[in-house]
Amino acid sequence: MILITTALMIEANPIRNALGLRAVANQPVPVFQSETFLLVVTGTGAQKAAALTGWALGRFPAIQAAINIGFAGAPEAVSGLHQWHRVNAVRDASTGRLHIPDILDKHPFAEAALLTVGQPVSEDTGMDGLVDMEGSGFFEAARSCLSPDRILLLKWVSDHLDPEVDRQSTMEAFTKAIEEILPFLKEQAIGTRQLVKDRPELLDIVLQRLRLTQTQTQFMEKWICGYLARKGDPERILSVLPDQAPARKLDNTRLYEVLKDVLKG
Amino acid sequence: MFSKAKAFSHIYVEQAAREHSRTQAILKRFPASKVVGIDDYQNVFGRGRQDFWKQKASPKLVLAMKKDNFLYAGNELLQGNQSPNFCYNALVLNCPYDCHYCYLQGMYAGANMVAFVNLEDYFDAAEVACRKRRDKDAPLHLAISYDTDLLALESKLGFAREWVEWAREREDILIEIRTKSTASRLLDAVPPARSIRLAWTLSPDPVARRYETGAPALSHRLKAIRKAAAAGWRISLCLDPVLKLPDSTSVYEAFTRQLAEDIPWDAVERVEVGVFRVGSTFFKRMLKRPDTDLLQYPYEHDRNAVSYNREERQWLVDEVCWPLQNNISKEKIFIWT
Repeated sequence: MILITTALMIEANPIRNALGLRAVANQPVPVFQSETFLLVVTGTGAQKAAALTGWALGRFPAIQAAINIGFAGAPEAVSGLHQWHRVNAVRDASTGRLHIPDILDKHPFAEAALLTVGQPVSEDTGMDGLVDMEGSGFFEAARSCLSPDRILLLKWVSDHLDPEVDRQSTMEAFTKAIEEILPFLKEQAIGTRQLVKDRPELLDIVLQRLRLTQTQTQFMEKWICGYLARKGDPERILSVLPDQAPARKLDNTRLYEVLKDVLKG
Repeated sequence: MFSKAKAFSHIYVEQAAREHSRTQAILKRFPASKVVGIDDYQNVFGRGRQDFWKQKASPKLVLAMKKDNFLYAGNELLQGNQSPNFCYNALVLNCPYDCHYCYLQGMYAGANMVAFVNLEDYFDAAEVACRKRRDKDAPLHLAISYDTDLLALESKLGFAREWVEWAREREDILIEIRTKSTASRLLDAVPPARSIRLAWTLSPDPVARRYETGAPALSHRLKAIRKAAAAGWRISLCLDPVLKLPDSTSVYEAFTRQLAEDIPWDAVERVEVGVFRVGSTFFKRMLKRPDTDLLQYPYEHDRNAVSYNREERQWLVDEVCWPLQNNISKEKIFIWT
C-alpha cells in the first residue's frame, strides 16, 4: 500500500476522486483508502505533517511507500506556474537539516530542491528551489519506517511566492494537474506490490507439522531460504517431517534441531 | 514500470568540494546528470535504513572532501600486509561492479559511490608515510584501490593517472592498483612507471559471469594483462576469492589451464591466492542480498571471520596453487586463507 499525504482538503479532493478512494470512518483526521492507496490529510505545517505521517505508518502497517503531494511556492526564475516537480533534496529552514530522497527510477518530472518553512513566505528566500510548509516533517517521519527510495515528494507550483492567490482558479488547475501524475502513481503502486516478498511454500508446510515460536519461525525461514538457494532438495525436508505436529514439547524440540542440521548442513 | 535511472543520474556535491578543480572537471564529464548540493557526504552515504541493492542498480556519485584518515594500516583479513610498510587508503568508497561475494555490501550503509576530490591531502599523507616507513630498505607499499575499482572509474574520475604521475619518479613507494577492469583508459594514455604495480583480480569465467556482475569477462581481463605486460607495467595477479562450487575441480582446472596459456608469466611479479573470507559483521549484512546462492553456503564462523572450514580451504588452495607452480616459482605465490 502507498501512503499519500497532503496538507489540505483542496489538495486531497482531486486525488481522492481520481484514484476512487473511499472515506475511512472514525479517524482523527480525514483518511481515504483503496486497496492500493491510503490518503491522509495532515493539516498545514511540518509538525502536523510529521505527526500524521508517523501516525499513518503505525496505524496501517501495510504501507510500503509514502508520497507527499501538494502545493509549493517558487520564484519565477525557478519554475513556471502549475508545473510538477519531484523533490531531490529537502531542507528544514528551522533546523537547517538536509534530507535526500533516493531517486532510483526514471520519472517524467522536473526536479528541484525544497525548503520547508514555518510561516508562509512572500519574498524570494534566495534558495534555488521550491518552498513549502510540510516536506521536511513528512520526510523525517517517513524515514522512521521506510528507506529513502520509498519516499517521494511531488510538488506543484501554485504561486510565485505571492501573498494573494486566486483560490478558485488554483483549485481548478490543480484538479487538472492531478491527471498528469496518475500514470506515475499507478506505476508506483505496481512497483510497491512487487516489494512484498513471498514466503517459501516449504516454510508453510513446516509450520503445519511443527510448533515453532516467533523467533524459531524467523530462523526457520532464513534456513529454508538458504537451503533452497543452495538448490537443496525439499523432498529431503519433507521426509524428516512427521504427518502432524508432535504432541510432546521435547519431541517438537528434537525435530526442530534435526531440521536445523539438515537445512544448515 | 519506469526503468532504472542510469548510473550517476544524480551527482551530490558536498558544499566544501563545490569549487574544487577536480569537482569541476568531473562534473563536466556528466553534462546530463542532475547536480544536488549537500552539506556533508554523510547526508547521502551514511544514512541508516538504505536499500543497498536497489541503490546498486542505479548508483549515484557523491563528490566530497576527505577530512581525516588519509591512510589506513593493514589488518589480518587484507592481503599485502606481509610487508611492515603496507598501508592503504580510500580515495573512493564503493565499487562500480557488483560482486556477490564483496565485503563492501556489508561494510557500507549504501551503494552510492563517494569520490574524495582532495587528492593533494592524500599525497601529503603518503609523503609523510614514506618518510616514516618502518622498513627503510623497502618502499612504502600503498594500495589505492581497495574499497573500489579505481581503474574501472578512470574515465569518470581520472584519479589513477594522477597517482601514477605523482609516484612516477619516486623510489620510496610502491603503489598497487587492484582492478577487475580492462584498464584501457590508463593503458592507452599513460606510460608505465616502476613505482606502480597493476594487480588484476581474476576468477574462472563461470564465476565471473555468475558472481561478478558488471565486471569484464575473464578473456577481456587477460587481454588487458597482455597489453599492460607488453607496455612494460609491473603486474601481479590476485586469484581471490577462490570459491567452492558444485564443480570446483573442473572449473579451476580449466581456469589454471587458461592462465597457463594466456598470461605473460615473465611479467608477473607475484600471485596472491585467497579463499572466500569476510568479517562476521559484514557477512551478517551481506546475507540480506536477495539474488545469490553464494552466501547461503554453510560457512564456518571462526574468530570474527566467515570462511570455508580448514579442510575446504586447504583443498581449494591446492586446486589452484599446484598447477600454478608450473608457471611461476613457489616463492612468488602468496596464499591467504
